[in-house]
Amino acid sequence: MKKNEVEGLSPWKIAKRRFVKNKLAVLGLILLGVITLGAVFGPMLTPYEAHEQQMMMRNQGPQGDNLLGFDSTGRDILTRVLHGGRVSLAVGIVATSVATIIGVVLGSIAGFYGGIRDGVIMRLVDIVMSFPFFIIAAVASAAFGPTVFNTMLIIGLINWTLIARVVRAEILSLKEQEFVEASRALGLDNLEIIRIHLIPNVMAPIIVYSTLTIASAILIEAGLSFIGLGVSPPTPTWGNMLEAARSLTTIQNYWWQWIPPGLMIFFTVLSINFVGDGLRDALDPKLKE
Amino acid sequence: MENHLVEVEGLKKYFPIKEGVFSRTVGYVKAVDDVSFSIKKGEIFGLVGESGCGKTTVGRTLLSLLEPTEGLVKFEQETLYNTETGEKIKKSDLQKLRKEMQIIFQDPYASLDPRMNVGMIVSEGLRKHKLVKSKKEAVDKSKELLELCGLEGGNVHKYPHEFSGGQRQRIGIARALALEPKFLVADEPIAALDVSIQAQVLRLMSNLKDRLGLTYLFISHDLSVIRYFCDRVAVMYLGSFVEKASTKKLYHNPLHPYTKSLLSAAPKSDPAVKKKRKVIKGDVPSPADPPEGCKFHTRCTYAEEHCKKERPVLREVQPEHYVSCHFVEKINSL
Amino acid sequence: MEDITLKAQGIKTSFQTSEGKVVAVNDVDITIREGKILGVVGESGCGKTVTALSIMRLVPEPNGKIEEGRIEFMGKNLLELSSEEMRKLRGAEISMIFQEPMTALNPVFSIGYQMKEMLKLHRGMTDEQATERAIELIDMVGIPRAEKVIKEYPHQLSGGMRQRVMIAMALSCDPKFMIADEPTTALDVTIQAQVLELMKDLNEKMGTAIMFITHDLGVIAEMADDVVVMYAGKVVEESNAISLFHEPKHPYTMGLLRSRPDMLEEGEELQSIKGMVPSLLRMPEGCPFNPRCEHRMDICVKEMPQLIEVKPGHKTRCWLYDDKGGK
Repeated sequence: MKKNEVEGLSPWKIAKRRFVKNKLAVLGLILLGVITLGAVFGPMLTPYEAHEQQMMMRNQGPQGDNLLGFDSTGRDILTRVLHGGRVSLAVGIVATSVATIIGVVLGSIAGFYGGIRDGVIMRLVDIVMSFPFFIIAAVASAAFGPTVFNTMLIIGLINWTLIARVVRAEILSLKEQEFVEASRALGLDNLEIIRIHLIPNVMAPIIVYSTLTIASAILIEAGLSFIGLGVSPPTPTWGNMLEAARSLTTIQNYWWQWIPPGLMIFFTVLSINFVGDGLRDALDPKLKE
Repeated sequence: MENHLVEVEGLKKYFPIKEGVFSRTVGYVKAVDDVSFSIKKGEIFGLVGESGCGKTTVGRTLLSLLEPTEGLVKFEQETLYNTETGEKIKKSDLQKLRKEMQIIFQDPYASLDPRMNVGMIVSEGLRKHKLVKSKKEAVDKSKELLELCGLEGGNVHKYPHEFSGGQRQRIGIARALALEPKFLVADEPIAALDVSIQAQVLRLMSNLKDRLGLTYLFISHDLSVIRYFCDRVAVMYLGSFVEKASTKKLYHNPLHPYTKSLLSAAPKSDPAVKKKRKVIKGDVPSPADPPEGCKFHTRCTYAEEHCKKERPVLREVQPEHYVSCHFVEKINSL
Repeated sequence: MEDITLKAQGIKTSFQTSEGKVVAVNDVDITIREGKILGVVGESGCGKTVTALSIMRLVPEPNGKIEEGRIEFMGKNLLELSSEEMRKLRGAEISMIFQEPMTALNPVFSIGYQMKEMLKLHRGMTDEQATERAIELIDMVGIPRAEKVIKEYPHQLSGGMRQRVMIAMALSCDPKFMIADEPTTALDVTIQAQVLELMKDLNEKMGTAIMFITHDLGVIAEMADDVVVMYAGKVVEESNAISLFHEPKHPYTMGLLRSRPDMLEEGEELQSIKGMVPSLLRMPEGCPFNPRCEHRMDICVKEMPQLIEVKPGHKTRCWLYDDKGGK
């Protein structure tokens, strides 16, 4: 920039400032950061393996190095929680990525071209949204096997509808804006308009809704794994670790086997929601005074 | 016609009204209903009318932002559309022509992409048509254009929200001028601005016209602005021209009843002057269901039986003064 | 001495925003003479709407607050009344109409229902009496086939008709005083003429005083008996309409008059006021108009001028007319 040129205040910068002022959002971000770091690096730091069974320590409570005690087959809970974090977060992120890509593509086509394409895609949305989700997931899981990969795919293929609707709505309103007409008058074609003008303006709601979708994906995985579908043992996820809580004895006597994974889910989802809400408030132009 | 930059003949734009699950066409909104005019090089041609009269649609069609349902549109003797012969300009030729004609919009808040900085907005056309070779060149050219429109070049990296309404309108003008067009369609360019800023922008547009030799189609609902700015003017009502003449002739000697009421309805400029007002009754009919015969007959104090049956045509009633009314001579004692 | 319907003095209303406190109305006096029309003119951000809201005590809380002032109406100070007492006055003694009638009319109730509710509430009428009066009012505002219209819904009417309905509702309880905030700005010119004529007519017939807020000087010339010009939250000029147009005192008023193409003589150039309205967060020192004023003097940048009577009944806030300014 030359000397007399003034720096501009882009909408992204404004959003960042607003986000940072939001204490709850920042708290959520920090918490999420800690959880993620724990999930990524934690497993490398524990002396135990996730599937390492020490039969003599079965159902033993927290003691010494084993801050969270042992499970019913003598595996270290803390290690499993950390590994489980990897899986649960990975499922959340990958499933959401799948959902986002599908949602953005379909929503954009529906919103931009309208007509029959819009009609077909929106009916597809209606159909997918009326699925009895859990039953479908259960059937799919049973049919294709309860693995991490399958779980990611199943959740992704069901969760794209909200994003599609949001993107479609944004694009519908954006394409009527005069700045799009101005670009047409300048000679830009449809693809250029989508790339240069529409996508940057749709980014904000995409970011917000993807973030919130991650939370929902994590919860879905937890639910599926809890009932034995989703990801099955021995691979630990917070969801299938919670399965231990299906026994009354466990709930009453071995709190360290189910409370830690439960709390992890709770805090992760909570912090994602704080961050998501913070992002929405920061990016929403309607809140500008 | 040699020195006519823009020629329009029999222009019609109908928008289908769709209903039902299968989007059946149940009717048409006749936004523009048989309009003909031409604009000379260096002229400011005004299009005045109230909401729903079709003036904005005419502007958009001239720029090929909308395709006409019927009619002939020519720019610099090149045919853009001729529905009779089925001629339509080639895409590549249209791209070239885009550099010659541009548009300024009404809404200073919706006409600039909020996520692009002003330099990028102004230079978009230049970059698209590869008239600048580097990013630096684009920025420099943007600065030049901003200054041409009365803004500080140093603001080139700022974003639209950092400017006022009047300034944003200037940015819009700078963007339109980037490709060095010969013809500008100004669609209610000052309607959304504060009164003291309106005058600023009008002066800018006038200056630019003189400096750059521009030709304008000026669309507005504000009669006093049209009178000040335009050389010739056409009054539109429900998609058709009711009167067309030089501004001087129209304001000193309005012949069509609608034009008279329009002029009469304008608020006065001096509280001491007693104005004899001719307030027309009724509301504007819907363009989806216009009245039979003369479209104005439902609100016209001079309407007779004939007016309900036959639609009048625009004809030269006095030298260079066109009116579309069956009884124009009688009403004006000509 | 003429009768005064409402006298507002020293109104100061501010808002808390994320970027600081904004004083939208700064020491404003408004005097409404009985049965007369006061025009309040100014551009965006001048505080005219907030002044009206302050009088009606409809300033949005908690961010907005009427910090100072006194509003005398019907022998009471409106700013000292309880919410309950104020609510009884609104609609009955003071009413307000807005630019967008759709926002003031409830879309899920018929016109007739809404009008009758008001009449029953404020005037204690029975259903029959209210129906009769509603039809009378709709007829009075020039809407044909009133008995049919009272059964219709807001979205079924055109903009001009809805505005007339708003006027009918505002006048239904025969208030002493009505505030009209840009009521015709969103209407076409021909419809605007109809509505303005109606309002003038009703003002004469019913003797309701009107405070007419607009940015359009032409409408002011049409309607107002007295005028108040506002800029950046302050009154900068105040007089009767004829005096304002023929002998404007304040440079801003003069600039506004020269900015209108229809106020020009044949062949005269259109003038404009340079610069723009200041942001209320970053007000200049001294007179708020000084950065744009071609008559600016040293004192203008330092001190705020006071509102002085330059001629009987004609006041202005400008150092050019204040001896202290030393012209």
